[in-house]
Amino acid sequence: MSEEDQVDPAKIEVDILQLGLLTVTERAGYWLGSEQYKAAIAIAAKLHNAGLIDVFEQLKSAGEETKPKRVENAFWQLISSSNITGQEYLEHSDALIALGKLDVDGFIPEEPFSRWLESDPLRAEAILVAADSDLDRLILNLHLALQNAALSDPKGALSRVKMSSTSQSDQRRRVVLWALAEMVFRDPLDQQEVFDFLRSVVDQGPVLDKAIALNVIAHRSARDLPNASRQLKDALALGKTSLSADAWASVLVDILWRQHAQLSGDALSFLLSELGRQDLEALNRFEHISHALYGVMQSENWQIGVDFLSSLLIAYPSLSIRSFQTLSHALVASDHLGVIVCDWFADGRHPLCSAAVEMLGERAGGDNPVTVPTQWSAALAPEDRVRLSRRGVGYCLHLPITAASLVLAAMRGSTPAESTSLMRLLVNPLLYCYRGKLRSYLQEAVKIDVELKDVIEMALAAQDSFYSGLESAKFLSELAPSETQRVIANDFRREAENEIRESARAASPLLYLFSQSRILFGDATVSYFPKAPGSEDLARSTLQMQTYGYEYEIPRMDCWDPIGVQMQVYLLRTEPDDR
Amino acid sequence: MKLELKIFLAALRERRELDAVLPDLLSAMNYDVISKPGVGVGQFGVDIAAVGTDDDGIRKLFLFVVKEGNLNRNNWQGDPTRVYESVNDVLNFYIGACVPAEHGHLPVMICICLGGEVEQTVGPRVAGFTKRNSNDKVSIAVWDGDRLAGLITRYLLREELLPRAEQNHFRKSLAMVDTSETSIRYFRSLVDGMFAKPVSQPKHYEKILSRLNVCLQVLFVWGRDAGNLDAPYLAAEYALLRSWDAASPWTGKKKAGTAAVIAAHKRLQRTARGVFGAYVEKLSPSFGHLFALSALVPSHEYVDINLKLFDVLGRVANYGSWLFQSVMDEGLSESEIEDISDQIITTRDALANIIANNPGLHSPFLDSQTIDVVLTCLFLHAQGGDDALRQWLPDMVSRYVFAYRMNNRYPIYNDNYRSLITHPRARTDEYRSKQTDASSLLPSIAGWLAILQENDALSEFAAFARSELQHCNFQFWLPQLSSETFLFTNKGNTGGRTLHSLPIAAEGPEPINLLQTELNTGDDFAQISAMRHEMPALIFTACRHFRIPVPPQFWSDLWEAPPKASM
Repeated sequence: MSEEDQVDPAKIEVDILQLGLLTVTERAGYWLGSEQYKAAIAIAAKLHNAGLIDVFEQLKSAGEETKPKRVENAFWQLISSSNITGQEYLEHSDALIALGKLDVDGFIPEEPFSRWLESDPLRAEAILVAADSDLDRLILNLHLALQNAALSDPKGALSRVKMSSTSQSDQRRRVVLWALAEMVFRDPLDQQEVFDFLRSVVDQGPVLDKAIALNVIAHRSARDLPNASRQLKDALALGKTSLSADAWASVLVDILWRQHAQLSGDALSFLLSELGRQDLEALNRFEHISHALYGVMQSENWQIGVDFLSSLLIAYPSLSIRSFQTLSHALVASDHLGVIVCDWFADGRHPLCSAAVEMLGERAGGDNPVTVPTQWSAALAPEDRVRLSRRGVGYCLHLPITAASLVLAAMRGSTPAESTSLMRLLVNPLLYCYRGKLRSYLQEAVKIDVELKDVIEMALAAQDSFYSGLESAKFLSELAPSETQRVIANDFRREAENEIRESARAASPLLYLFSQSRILFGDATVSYFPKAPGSEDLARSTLQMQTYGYEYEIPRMDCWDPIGVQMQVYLLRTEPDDR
Repeated sequence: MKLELKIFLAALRERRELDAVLPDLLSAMNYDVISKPGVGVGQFGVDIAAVGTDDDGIRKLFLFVVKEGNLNRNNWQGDPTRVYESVNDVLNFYIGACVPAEHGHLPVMICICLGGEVEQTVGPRVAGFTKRNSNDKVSIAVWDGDRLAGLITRYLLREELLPRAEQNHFRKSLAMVDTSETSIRYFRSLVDGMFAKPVSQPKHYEKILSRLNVCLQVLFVWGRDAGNLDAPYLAAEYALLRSWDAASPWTGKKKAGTAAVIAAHKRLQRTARGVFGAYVEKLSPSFGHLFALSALVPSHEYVDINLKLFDVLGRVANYGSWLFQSVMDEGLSESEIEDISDQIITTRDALANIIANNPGLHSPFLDSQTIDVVLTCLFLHAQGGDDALRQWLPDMVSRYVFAYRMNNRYPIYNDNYRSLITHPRARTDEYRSKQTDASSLLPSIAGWLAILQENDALSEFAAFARSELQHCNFQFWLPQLSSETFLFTNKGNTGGRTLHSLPIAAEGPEPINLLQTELNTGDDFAQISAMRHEMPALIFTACRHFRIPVPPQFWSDLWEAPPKASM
């Protein structure tokens, strides 16, 4: 908070006493949610609790010039720190709704409402009683009241849930079932009772209730049940038999999406294996799955999530890693990236390898080594080493350092014969195609990777030999393309560049924001302009121009033999195919 | 012109260059050349001997001692190959023992013939030596580069013989030798000018060829000095072809003068072969290293590299075919035959290396590259290089299939450069079908696979053709006698006929049966002048230079129908 924004509580208090909360916050122009606004609300609540003002009356009597949203916001902010009873809350909210200053559909922000409920069990009771009398606008927040009621009277709260679960109102039933997810039952008997109740809903309830009940079971199981996985599996098995295939698939996605953080590894595996059997393309819920997997990736169960993602990429050719955008961004930044891409290249199937290379290409900093723990490399089977190296090079030829690091990862822990065989991939195509940064990377790797020192040095020697062969013949004028060919090629290149430049200009939003002027020569500009309109006093303006460039190394063999390189890449990507 | 010639003469090497120019010059001076340079033959210091009338009007026996470059302390005296020792050999042995009896009565003029000049460091010694050893019977003179240039200008390239316009073409051709496209354009104009009027007499033809030979040598030496033999190579090819066409009055049917005309052309062939050999030798250090030749093409455009690789391949194969043809020439010494045979082996190995080390050659980009492929196949097959072909052609098929299926950089018949650098313009089936609806490349590869009995590759190709190249018209151009003029000038009607719709995909004897049936139907290809005179290399050069398909008549006999069991 800047000095100007400093709050003077005494002054605000006086102002509120004199002018009222809304006038003070509006006149001062406080943003909703700002520190000053919150401070003003707290002071108003304190004054209200002390009986010095009736802040809720102030809200009700707000003039036309005060926007309803402002009143509504103040109401919810005040609720959490005021001392009003349940009955008072209901009266104030009814009045504000009647005045059109509160949302009639009963949107209640959970956080302040929950805080208000927490501080007095009687408040929850009041809300529940009001809700029992079918006060519709309270239904959406019934779960908060139930959760709070359960803290003081778990059995009573549970019996209310059971009672509401027979309601004719779908909404009411669903809200109370969802409320069970967060209701705390410390007594194991109560916990079992909840579980049995939910099972009975899964068994006999309406379809939507079954879905919610399964979600709640999944949510509660890890917390409450000693053998959570088994009970969850039983419940899921029951759900599977009592739901249509579509509904069942949908429920599984819901559970994954909502409950992934609550599930044990075992339960998650079971759920994902069930989910894997569904026609997810028809279900079209990949966005939810992506969000859920994103959550899984942050947990200790990340490997289970990766396995499921892998199975999805393989099973649905229409999917790519781009279909899981949030997830892929998380994976790219994750510490597990190395192991994931190496696993996928070692697996060797195209959808996984293309997903791997896409993620590697999105890393900040571009072409960088992929790192995997040595023990991971050591556990690789010989055929996996071959596949990892071949796919790594085949898919990452445009990222030579990445590709080389994949080959090195495959070499670690391998036999000398295997290493020598894999080294050939380092040489051709990688070291034949690239000299610059790749060579520097390998020269550094020699110093660090003692185990691979010999084999890397052999590869570098092979590169030296290759390039000394290339350089054995000097420039030959005879091989230069003809002048005509050069002119045509240059014209063509210029045309293509112009086209790209024009389309880039056309697509650039900056052109609409700034005026342009063309500078014909030089790398700095100077100009003079009047300091004020009509003034003869000139100001001098200088501008140092900047150069922006992007440098990359073209794989040299692609120029000499593009079909050969394409074929090589194709074979590296497809062979050996032992599936 | 004299200045250009002096530069040329100064850069000539002794063996096969300076001593190759002299006979033409002497003939033009109406001297009778009685002894020409030979390799490894002891001549007691004499490189060339001729009889003619000197400037003083006296008929003399001229004995030439030829040395490249300037005469200086290094090559004047010191060992048996130096000028001093060579002239002494002439004085002491040749004049006494080797002068033919019919010329024994003639005064002798020993000419120390130099491409450059006598340097001051040895000038007094040379003057003293010549004065001391000259008498009524024998005299010694120095013909240095200046004198030779004067003689060439006077007897070979004077305006009556080489009009001003042609001299200008020649000068421009020399000046632009490093820009081969321009240089060859002027050289062609020069050659066309020389043969603009029909040649009426064999003598006339011989004189023109002498001039042409000297012009070609001058261009070659200039190119060598400039470090670019591209234009000389092309000039040599054009000179061979255009001069052969001009010889048609004597080459069509054997008649008086035919032998002289053929002999004159063979002299030009020797020069051309020297140019071809120098070109190949210059490039050869790159042949043995993986990608070295490809990497030397100074371009990032794959098209440029591909075009140049096939161009080089065709040129080396063309050189090989000239070597192979020349080894059959009459009158060669044993050492010359051995020398040429060695060069044939070197050229064969060079071709095999080029193919193995430049994988870009496994992916032709143009249908007309069939010419270079077939020339290479013909030479390698004839020289026992089938192993290289077995590595090359099946891979070419695999790559063709791959490129076609990837819809990228498959060979097309449109050789317009702009089309090539933008190929493929579209990656659609429709575009691809249009670009591949005719091919001479594929039936040629199929034919050579059959010759090599590479049956697996042939089956792969046939299956591919059946499934994906139904739209392609496989064809061969079969030239006939009516193609004679077109072959050597690239002008007029092509003549011959095109056998098309070859059933290559049939994987059986049909294509070869059809081809042989057609070739047995009144084919008079063997009557083409170059074939009658056993100079197939001329036709190969014509095909390479003018980008004309290589007649399948050269290899159809090798292509046998597969045995029935394998059909």
